[in-house]
Amino acid sequence: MPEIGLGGRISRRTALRIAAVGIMGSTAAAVTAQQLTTHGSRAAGDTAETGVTAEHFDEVYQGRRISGSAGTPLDAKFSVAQTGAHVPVALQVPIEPQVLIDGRALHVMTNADGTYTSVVNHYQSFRSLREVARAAVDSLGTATLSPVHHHG
Amino acid sequence: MGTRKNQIRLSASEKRAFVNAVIALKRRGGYDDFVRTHNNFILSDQDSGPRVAHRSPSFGPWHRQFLLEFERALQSIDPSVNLPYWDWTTDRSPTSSLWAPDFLGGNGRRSDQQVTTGPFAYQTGNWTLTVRVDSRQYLCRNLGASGQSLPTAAEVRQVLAITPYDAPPWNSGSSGFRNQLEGWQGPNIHNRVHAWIGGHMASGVSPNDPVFWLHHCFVDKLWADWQAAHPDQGYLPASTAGGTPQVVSLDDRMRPWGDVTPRDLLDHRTFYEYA
Repeated sequence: MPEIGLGGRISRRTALRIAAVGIMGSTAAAVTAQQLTTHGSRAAGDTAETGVTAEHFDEVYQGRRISGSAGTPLDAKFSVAQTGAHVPVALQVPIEPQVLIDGRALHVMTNADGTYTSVVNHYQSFRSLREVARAAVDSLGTATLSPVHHHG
Repeated sequence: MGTRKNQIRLSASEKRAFVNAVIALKRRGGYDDFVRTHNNFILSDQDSGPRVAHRSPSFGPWHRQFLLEFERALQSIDPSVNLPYWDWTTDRSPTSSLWAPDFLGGNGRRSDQQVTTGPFAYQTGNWTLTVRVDSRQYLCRNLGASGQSLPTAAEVRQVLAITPYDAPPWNSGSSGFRNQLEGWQGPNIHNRVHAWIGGHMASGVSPNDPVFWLHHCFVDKLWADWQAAHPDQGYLPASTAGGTPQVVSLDDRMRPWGDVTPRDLLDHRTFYEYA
């Protein structure tokens, strides 16, 4: 699978995936996306090998509010809510995983095999954003995340 | 030319000289530049983008140069100091002399993982963290809490037998020696040690823990051991002709230095030897 040139601000720092999104339900959380990495291998995920479920969570873990999302189009005009479509919609979008801990961004990147790694647990791979967030909370204890600076 | 020794064979005065030089560099402000550089590359090295220090072929030479720069900074303070290495295949205990109060200090306390013993404990005033990803100004460790053990000698032998050096797609999904040494595939060598120590060593600002240098010195030695075992195998990719613009080929200059290539660093004996 060749890389899709998406140039610009987002794609440079984004684990670029090509998502063929089939609309399976009425909420974004129910969207199942078959995701391919830029190198053509299927992303690992929580579900069967045919694809991964777009992940959204928002919970309290060890007293910390953690939330995260991945697998949804960043461009709102492609959102499920707005398209209201009940037919598959082919999208080519960069998908950047996002995790917040008590409202502060945790820097997360997508590995070649579709797993995730965060700056707090950089030398481990996690199958879901929820696992990344929980591991970060376990490491942080009561500490709060600092703002993310690239090349700071 | 310096000799890098196993830390278990350092004399008391050699340990003291190393620790004092590290603390002096910290006091001058130079230490934190290394932490900042490392974290910048952790954040920017991407499997699908430009990558230099991690998840890429130049993991070996980038860290070799990084350690050389650090060793030279220590030697500008005390010319007798050389980096020691930590052989975690044989020296595996949380109560090893490595973690004693006269060297790196011990495990973090249970309540907040804070290191409270040795020269790098926060309350000594020597070691306040300034380059951070979170609010903690004190050094943290959580030895063994990751649930994984340290790599074994058998696992190291298994990885040292792998050829070639690296392979497409030249990232964390590659087969080849480099990626199995780094630890994204295979038995997991380098990554697992970071995770085993935990605390700051598990994070992008891992050089905040001085054990970073002893761990990476051993990883560097393993690369040298692999080179000695496979003299017919060289650094890959040898050129960008194969379509590898996002990774560092043999004669490409590496960021952030801009004046050093992997080829310049292939023979560690140009700079130091291992004992």
